[in-house]
Amino acid sequence: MSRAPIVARWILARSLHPGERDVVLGDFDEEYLQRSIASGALAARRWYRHQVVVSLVPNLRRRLARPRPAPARRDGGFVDGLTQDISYAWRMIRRRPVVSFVALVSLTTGVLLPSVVFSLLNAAVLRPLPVTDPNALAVVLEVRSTGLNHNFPFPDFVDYRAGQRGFVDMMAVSRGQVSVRRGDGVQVLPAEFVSGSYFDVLGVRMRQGRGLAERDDSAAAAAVAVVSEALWQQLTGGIESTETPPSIEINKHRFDVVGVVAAPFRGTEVGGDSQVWLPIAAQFQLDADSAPLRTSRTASWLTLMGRLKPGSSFEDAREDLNRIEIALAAPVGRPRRSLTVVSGRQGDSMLPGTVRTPLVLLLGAALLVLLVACANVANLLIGRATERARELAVRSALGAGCGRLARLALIEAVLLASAGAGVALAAAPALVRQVVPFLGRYGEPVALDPGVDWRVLSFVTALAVIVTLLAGLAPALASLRGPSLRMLGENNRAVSGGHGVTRLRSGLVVVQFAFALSLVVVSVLLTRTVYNLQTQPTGLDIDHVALLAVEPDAAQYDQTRTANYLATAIARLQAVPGVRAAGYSRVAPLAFGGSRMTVLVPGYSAAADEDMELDFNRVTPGYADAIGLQLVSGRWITAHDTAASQPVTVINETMARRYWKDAAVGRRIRFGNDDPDVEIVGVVRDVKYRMLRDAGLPSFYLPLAQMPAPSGIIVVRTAGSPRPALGELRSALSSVDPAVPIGMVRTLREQASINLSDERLAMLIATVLGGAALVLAAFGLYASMSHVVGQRVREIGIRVALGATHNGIRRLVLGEATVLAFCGTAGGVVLAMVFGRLIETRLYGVTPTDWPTLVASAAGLGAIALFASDVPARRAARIDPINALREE
Amino acid sequence: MAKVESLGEFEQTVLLAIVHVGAEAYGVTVRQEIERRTGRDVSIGALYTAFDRLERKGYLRSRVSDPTPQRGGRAKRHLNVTAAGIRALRRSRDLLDRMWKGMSAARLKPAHGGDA
Repeated sequence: MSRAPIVARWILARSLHPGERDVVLGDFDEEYLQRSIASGALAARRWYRHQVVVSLVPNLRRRLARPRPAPARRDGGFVDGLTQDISYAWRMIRRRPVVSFVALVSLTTGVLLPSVVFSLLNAAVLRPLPVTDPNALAVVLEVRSTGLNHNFPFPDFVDYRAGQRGFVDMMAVSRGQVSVRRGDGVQVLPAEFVSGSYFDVLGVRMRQGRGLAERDDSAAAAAVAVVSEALWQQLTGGIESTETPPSIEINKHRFDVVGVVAAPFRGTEVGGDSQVWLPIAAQFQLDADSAPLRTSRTASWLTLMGRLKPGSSFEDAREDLNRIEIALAAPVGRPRRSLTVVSGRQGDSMLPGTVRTPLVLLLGAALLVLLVACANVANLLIGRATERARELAVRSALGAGCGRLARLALIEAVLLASAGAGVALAAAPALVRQVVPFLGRYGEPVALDPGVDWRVLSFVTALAVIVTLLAGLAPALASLRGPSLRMLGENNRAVSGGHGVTRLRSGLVVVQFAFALSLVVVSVLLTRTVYNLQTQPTGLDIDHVALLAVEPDAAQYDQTRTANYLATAIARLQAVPGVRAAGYSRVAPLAFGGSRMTVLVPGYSAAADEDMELDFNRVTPGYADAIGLQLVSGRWITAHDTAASQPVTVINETMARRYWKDAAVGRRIRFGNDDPDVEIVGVVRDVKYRMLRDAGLPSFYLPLAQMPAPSGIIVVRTAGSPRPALGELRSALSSVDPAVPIGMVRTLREQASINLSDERLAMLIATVLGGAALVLAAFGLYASMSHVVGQRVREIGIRVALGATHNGIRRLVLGEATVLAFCGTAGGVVLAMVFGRLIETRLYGVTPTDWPTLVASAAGLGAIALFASDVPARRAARIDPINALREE
Repeated sequence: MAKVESLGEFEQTVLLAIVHVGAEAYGVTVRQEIERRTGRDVSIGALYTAFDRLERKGYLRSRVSDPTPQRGGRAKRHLNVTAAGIRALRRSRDLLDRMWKGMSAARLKPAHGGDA
């Protein structure tokens, strides 16, 4: 006698309800036996399988329709119970829509914030260039005493490339802008000028046509360009035709488009957004002034990258390049460079280094909010679990294992977490797109692809798993401990879930408040930082100054014409009504950058590692008055300080104090051993130079006449606010000479504001996160207290019946809430000090353990806690003892 | 009971098969009875679903027997049609008879090329 098909039989057994499994399996077996005798084993087996398949759906329906089995059993299997539990959890979620909605919103917010931050981190720091095997790419750098130099002269690139053996090949790129003609208008777009090897070395995927090749990069070659997919679509309106490549007009020259780069490639800089690629040879043609760059060995302007040969390392490539450099340096007559090679998987990009730390900190804060949200959801689920305690007790008595009950709570958390993760994945890209521009520094635009890739997917999945564990574990544990036989006899409302569960819920509220307080403290610290930076004395007349950038060098002016132009411009601007003073300087204040020069101080012996390269600025006599400099001693620069007279300088107080103990006027400094002495004629108050954060650095001023500058900033002081006058100032300036381009025009206050954009962003984010955590925590407390009141209706009813006043009852509930809030606040203060240490370097004028901040934040949180628990407290006070007792 | 539920075609078939088989009615015999009379290889799953429904409606009583050695020690679900079940069968028969009365073969021809 043959046995029935094993797999089919197993499936059949799973599909049957345990209560009828024996009977139905018996029927199958009996008929199978009859059939195998009557028509052979083969036909019988076929019949059996067919029967299993057609019976599957009715069996499962019956199975789900039947109540849970009475007999205790262990053979149900994991999967059986799971499907049932999922459908049960789903019913529970739908039965309490408000609680479920709040839980869902909490979790979605909690998952969304870190997902957005991680997507940014991914796009800016983790994701490599979208090219073939980015890990084999290398960037060549020069190690200098002051740091790393990223740029090289063109002839050096040619020599390195010809001699090197560590790379498959090398390429060179320089970034710039081109004007592309579109219809009647002209669009200025970021572009890359690249060597003929660029596309092959990178392995750029093309949408259409080809990349630039070696033959394109020569003076004799036809003018060709490669464009981005985005530009291609703008130019053609999305029509694909490759028969005769249309041409585009770039900087008034015609270029044939030979290829379209496939998105999302945007060039070799993360955060950059190159739209056009031209051969380096084309740059020499487009810009006649750049022709000397072809042969110059001193002008460094090219970024060099290479692709490692298989099996060769960065170290090999470094040694190989230095070998060439040693042979090259002496013949061309320059000191030998020290070359190094670093990973080029993200191209040659500034962005990853600058945003890594802030984004990681931000991710930490966002994860904290997630923790608060998890605590909230855990609390809600526990509340629901205790409301179900009686039912669970029945199940447990009927043989459902404790594990089964815990699993039910976990499944609910899984469903909620999956929904939250789904929403986060769907919404993150749109939010990331909104946030990306904030990553830009110094007002430069940043382009990043917010797309969801495997990293984001894994991250969000991991979050969902963590959320499930955090939000589901506590209720699961509560289920393990909570239900017991004694509850069977009790009134539904009297079931409070036991002391353990209550303690767990209280613990969660405490944890929420602790995290919320720490985030609030961080946001207050950052807000005070911004306030301190904004209101500190800068030494500048910050509210009455307008800045106008001019570029006489762009009009190819020589020194005399530039000087004449500036003199006229300053005179013209001073004539504008409301203008008090005008001057000119090489460096704009608070614009991040500046000029530096090594200073020799006779009689001062500098320490071995002391930085004698000091900030300086080249200014006209009117500058001090225009920007609000205050003279401390000596005199300011005058019109008598000319190229022909004694070289003079005015220094700031810090410099005077450091090198001459304040008695600086009349002393001399030098900039090089062979240079003439420069006499110190005056000392002025310190001002903020590059950043509002700058603290007491030595700096000095030189007369523009004695060291001319090709471009700079015209500084205008107005009587009132300079903002309304900007337009008039600009037109007055452009009337002087339309050939001189005017760059940025803004007030000094605006410049200061841009200077603080990092701090302001940090403050904004911390405030959003702190606020979210606070709202979540307040809601958690509210839900928890409501639950407690709901559970204790009978007890409160008895109290009222025995003479407790409304206020007494209210105080009872508020008292409990206060204890929770107080514990949370105490923990939060400790946490806040820990987090404060982490962001200490970002703070200004306030310490991480600033007591007023801590006390004020704690008091604020306490007030919110009272407010959140007052609603349930009032509800408790209104409980009618008759109704409460009748419900028995 | 005021409310009277009518029987579906499959339910009628099952109830009638049980009556036909008589005392020996359980899953296998009922299924084989239906197959013998109609040629339909009824799915066992559907059969048991029908048993459950009919039992819930009170037309059927079932009793799980002690395990019998013939089928590897498995129990059987013995079936009995209740008086209510018999009444329900009669009612269904009645209803249909009344509806069929006077129906000629010609009138049963499809109007326009049949239905879907």
